Amino acid sequence: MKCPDCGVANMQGADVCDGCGHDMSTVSHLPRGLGKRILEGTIKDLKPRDAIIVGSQDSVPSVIRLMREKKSGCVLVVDGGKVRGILTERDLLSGVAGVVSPEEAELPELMHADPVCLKEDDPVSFAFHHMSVGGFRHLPIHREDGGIGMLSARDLLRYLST
Amino acid sequence: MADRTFPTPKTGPALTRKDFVSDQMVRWCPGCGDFAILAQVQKTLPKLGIPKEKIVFISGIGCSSRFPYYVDTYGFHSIHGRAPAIATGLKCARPDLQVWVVTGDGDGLSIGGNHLIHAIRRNIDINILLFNNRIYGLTKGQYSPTSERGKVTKSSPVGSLDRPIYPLRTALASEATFVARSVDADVQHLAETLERAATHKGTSFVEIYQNCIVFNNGAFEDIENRATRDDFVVKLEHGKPLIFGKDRDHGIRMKGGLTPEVVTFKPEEPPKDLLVHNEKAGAEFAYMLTQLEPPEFPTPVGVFRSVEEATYNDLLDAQIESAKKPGADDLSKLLAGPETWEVAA
Repeated sequence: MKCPDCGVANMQGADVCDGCGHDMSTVSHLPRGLGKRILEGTIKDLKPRDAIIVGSQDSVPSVIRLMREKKSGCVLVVDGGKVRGILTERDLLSGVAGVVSPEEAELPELMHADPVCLKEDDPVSFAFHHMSVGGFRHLPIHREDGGIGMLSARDLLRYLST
Repeated sequence: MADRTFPTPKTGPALTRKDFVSDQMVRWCPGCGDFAILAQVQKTLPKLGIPKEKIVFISGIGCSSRFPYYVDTYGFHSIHGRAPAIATGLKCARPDLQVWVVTGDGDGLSIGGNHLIHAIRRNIDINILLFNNRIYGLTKGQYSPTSERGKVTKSSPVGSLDRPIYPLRTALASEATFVARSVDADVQHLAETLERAATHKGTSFVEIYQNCIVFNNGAFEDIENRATRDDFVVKLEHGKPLIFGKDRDHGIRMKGGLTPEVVTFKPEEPPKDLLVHNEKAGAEFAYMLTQLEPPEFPTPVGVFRSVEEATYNDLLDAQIESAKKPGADDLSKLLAGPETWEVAA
């Protein structure tokens, strides 16, 4: 937390500035209201779309066709109702394009196994935290009704900008 | 259990929870487990019959350590990890005060691990509340001493290699005379546990599982969720068998006398060889209970151990009284004793 008075970087949560003694208890590094929305909003408020689901035995070309058709940057690999992995455009770029023909590629080898999944009543801040820590752009979301949604970094940007 | 008595008599109108609510704005994240703990502490304090000005909360650094601001008593938001040391000094200087230490898993077990174990092994008459959320929350989500191995955080991007430290085992290894565990979301159990801790003579150590909603949400999901907790928690009650489950149809017994195992039975016919909790037993019994962990076992909560031993304060007082007696060694005698000599000019 940067002191607005002297510019010294203080530890998060500091009550007074280490440099000048300025009262930091009311200083926030976020614009007014934004911190509150991030902390108090839940993933449900972001209305994540339904996840596009494929099985681990599906062929890679069929999955690519599905992603094109649905205009989606990622699919969720689910077997027997259990999330096995997540496959994104980036995985296809790094694991297929110029590496191996899609017909020869195997989905379980390309996907990220056992992805972090959140619940729709988790706070928005928790989604930010996981995307930041894991470097993810997509997070599968378990819904209360048993369905699975997909939260994207774009959903978070939209939430922040509205 | 010995009740503590304080020299100040109860006078004036009875205190209520409101008397312990300060005028400070509570600055924890919405939904933080600390709110529930604060509320239960504020509900417990009036039951103790101790005047507000005789109660002190001392904390270190961290989210939990903001606690003293929010309780309308004396308090000290002190140095990282050093709250037990400051509490030790205060309790020795002012034994008439009831002293509480509020710390977290990082503050208490990493930065201040050494201070914590020494306060406990001395059996100073203080109450230590350790909020365990298994993460550093205030500094935005680094792995803490109680984080599970493999935990991916900002400071362990490919997973923590550290084995976690277990607060209750640390306390027991330090010869703690009162060791308990409760959960932020189970407010009734938490209130009962806090009251037990407050009335224990000697160091009482309470680990409170606390959910960090932003950086480690759901760390204790099965234990905190009302719908599931009966199946994942076994409540320890002195003299009663370890039975758990929504239908009270599971229990714990010792296989071959040494190894615990879960048994299933008809609720109306519990086996006779179920393990019976004894909080007065040796530390090894309590230590065994701390090793009951999911997924094989339910998580035990309650008072693991509560025994009476002389407190550091009792011994210190006795030593001071002894030194005051006529004929006792005095400093001038010591300075001019047989081991002194004059250097000839």
